[in-house]
Amino acid sequence: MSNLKKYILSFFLILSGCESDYFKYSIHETDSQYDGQNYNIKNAAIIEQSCNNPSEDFTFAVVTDSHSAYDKLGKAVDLINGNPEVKFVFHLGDFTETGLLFQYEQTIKKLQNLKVPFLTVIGNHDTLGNGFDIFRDIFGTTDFSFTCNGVFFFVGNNNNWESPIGDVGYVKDALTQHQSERYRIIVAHIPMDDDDRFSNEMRQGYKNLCEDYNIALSLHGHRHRHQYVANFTSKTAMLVADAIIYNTYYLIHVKSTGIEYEIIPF
Amino acid sequence: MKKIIITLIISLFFTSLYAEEHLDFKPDFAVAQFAGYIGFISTGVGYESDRKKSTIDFLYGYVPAFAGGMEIHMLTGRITGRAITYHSNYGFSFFPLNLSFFVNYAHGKPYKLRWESKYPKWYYRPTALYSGESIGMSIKKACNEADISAYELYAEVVTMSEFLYEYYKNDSIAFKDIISLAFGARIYF
Repeated sequence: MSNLKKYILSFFLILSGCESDYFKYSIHETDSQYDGQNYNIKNAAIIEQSCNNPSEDFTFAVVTDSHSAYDKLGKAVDLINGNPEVKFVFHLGDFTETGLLFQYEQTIKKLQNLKVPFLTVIGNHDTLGNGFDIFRDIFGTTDFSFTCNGVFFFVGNNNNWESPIGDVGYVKDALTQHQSERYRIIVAHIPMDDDDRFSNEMRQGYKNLCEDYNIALSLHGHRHRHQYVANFTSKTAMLVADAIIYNTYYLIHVKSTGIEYEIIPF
Repeated sequence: MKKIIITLIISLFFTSLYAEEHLDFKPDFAVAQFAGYIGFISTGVGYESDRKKSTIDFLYGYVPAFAGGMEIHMLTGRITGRAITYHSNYGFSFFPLNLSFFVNYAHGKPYKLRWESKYPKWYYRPTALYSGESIGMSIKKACNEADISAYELYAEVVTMSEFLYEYYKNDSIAFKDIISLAFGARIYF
């Protein structure tokens, strides 16, 4: 081997030993500094521990569809931090544009500034590329449930075009076990009345589930416009939150008299 | 899609120009690069214009799981212009301002060039294709080895167009988050 070839080979061997934030190998990388944080699992447990009075009223905040508007998400985080009523925050999904690790990490940098626990719902954009794997590596799970002050929350992935979605039997089992709670809320990114994505049978099946399991609120994002259907079923209201890109977030007030929402423009 | 087509046409145009100069399609150089969003290690071949003002490279990039979290295979087409050229004695050439534009294709099931018909038109962009830009410098040395006429070492600061756009839209994104350093070498035949 000539000296020149040895020098070039040495050059690459030295570089391959470098570990630095300044060397990136692909826009599709999945290895994150936040891997293993399991935010959804950890924060749901924190909420359950701190909100254990079954009759106490409480408020949580909702943001959704921030896509790549990280500055706007940061502004909402600052405003939510200034409200001592808020117990926890839901991001209802689509916090990335194309499911890239860079976009996940920019979002987490903002959510980490919250003074209260946050929970994330996977949106259809968040599943793109390697996004589904990145979500599970960082947040732990797409489908989970928890109870806060006598309100049972079931959070699920319903991006049926982009990813496998959970078994409805699992949802029913979880809801069956929590019929004694004062309210039940289902949280998922895509509104379940979407007739492009969900067949008549699926949409009616979801309505039946809401009726049969006494769901008080079906909470969603995705549409980038506000929509409230008070009589989604005889027992269920459906709230579709407007996107944060339009300078809006929500406060949801859970009271003994019912569940109310408040739109907060900024 | 228009951007992709325009990029391909530009690439083909440059390739055809080089091909006229090099009728046998024999590449002018082999190239290998470390990092810079086109692979942990990427290797390929390329052509240099007759006036030495520009190059075009075609590279295969590989990211092993230990470096990127999962194995990734990529192809990259890149055009580089050398804005400034200094020639010195002893066969050295110094290019202090090289500007590149590249298109990167990731191969594999998670990355889509086209979306299935169930998706409305332009519901999503093609996630297999991203473009990027770089700015860098290089030094080239002529030599007299049997099969090698010159070699070149280069360093670049690389970003992706998607990141640049998001950086422009958001004041809070740190510049270091949207860049990668890259180092590479070209061996001229």
